[in-house]
Amino acid sequence: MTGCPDATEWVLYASGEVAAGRRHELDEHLQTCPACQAELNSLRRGFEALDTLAPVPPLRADVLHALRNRLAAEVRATHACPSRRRHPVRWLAGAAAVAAAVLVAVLINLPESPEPTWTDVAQMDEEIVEITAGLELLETDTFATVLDFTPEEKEPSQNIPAGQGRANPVPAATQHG
Amino acid sequence: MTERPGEAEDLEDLLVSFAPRVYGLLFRMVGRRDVAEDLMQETMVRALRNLDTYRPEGKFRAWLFRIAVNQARDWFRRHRREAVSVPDELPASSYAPPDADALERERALSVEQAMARLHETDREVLLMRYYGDMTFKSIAQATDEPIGTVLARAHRALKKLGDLIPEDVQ
Repeated sequence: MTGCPDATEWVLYASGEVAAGRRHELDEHLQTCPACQAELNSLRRGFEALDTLAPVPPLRADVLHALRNRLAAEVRATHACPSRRRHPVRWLAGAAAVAAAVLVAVLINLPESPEPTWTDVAQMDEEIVEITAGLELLETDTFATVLDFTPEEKEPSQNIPAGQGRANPVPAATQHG
Repeated sequence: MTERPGEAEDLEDLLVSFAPRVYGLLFRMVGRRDVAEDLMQETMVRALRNLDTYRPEGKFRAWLFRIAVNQARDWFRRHRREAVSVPDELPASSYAPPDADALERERALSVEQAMARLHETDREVLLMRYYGDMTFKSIAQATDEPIGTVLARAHRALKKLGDLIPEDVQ
């Protein structure tokens, strides 16, 4: 490494968000740079300052209960009043209707031969596959993915209780006093 | 999560599971329990109503926290005069953990006051990182700012808070 890294990179380092390879480089730099050691320690003290605060008062059970009721009421209202329904499911239905119309148009425009040729059938199949894939994409792009979301990328402070998190300390060997 | 798509109850459960974190962030932002509770509920209802604005390429948490932060900002705009500098929910003697000694309590109060003096957007970044348990990358996503800007905000805020902690504490 030539020169000191940008000061903001030490924020990532103190927060445990630096990739292993880069962290190794930064560790080596710290061994020989008192200025960066001081910078890092200052940032660590900043995180430590947050640790001195009192815990956030716990969320009351009755508030959670009220939240559930509100969300349930919201869902009921949405179902009862279609105009409020803004979920993608609504326009998925619209997209399906369009797809059906396209299919009908394809069928109507078929040559008037008594039976469609295999080429016609294959082409229809391709069109159906395309339409279906389009619908699946629409679905994947919206509601389904929201619900089937995966947790965030490796969180830096997974072991910390909610609301009381602190930055992951870097390995002890890399800490400088 | 193993929710099956299209089941509203699952979405409700998902939002409720985020409630404590969202509330914690909002409490630290506005400093009042009752307001944080209200804003948390508003956040969840808005999330439910605006689900179609969520884009799968983003993180659900970042999207949700962005709504929460906007709720807090709106609240501050509406109540500029009563913007809370220090949480009024807790007496001054309890800014530190219950088993803290006098020195620790004093320091906790200093930190709380220093937090209140931070620039609003700097404080938000710190709170999202610390109480929202978000990575800086996710925070950048949630605030729609470049990662460099987010890190600069965090750096500025951490340095100010770090000055309050004596070096020998480490």
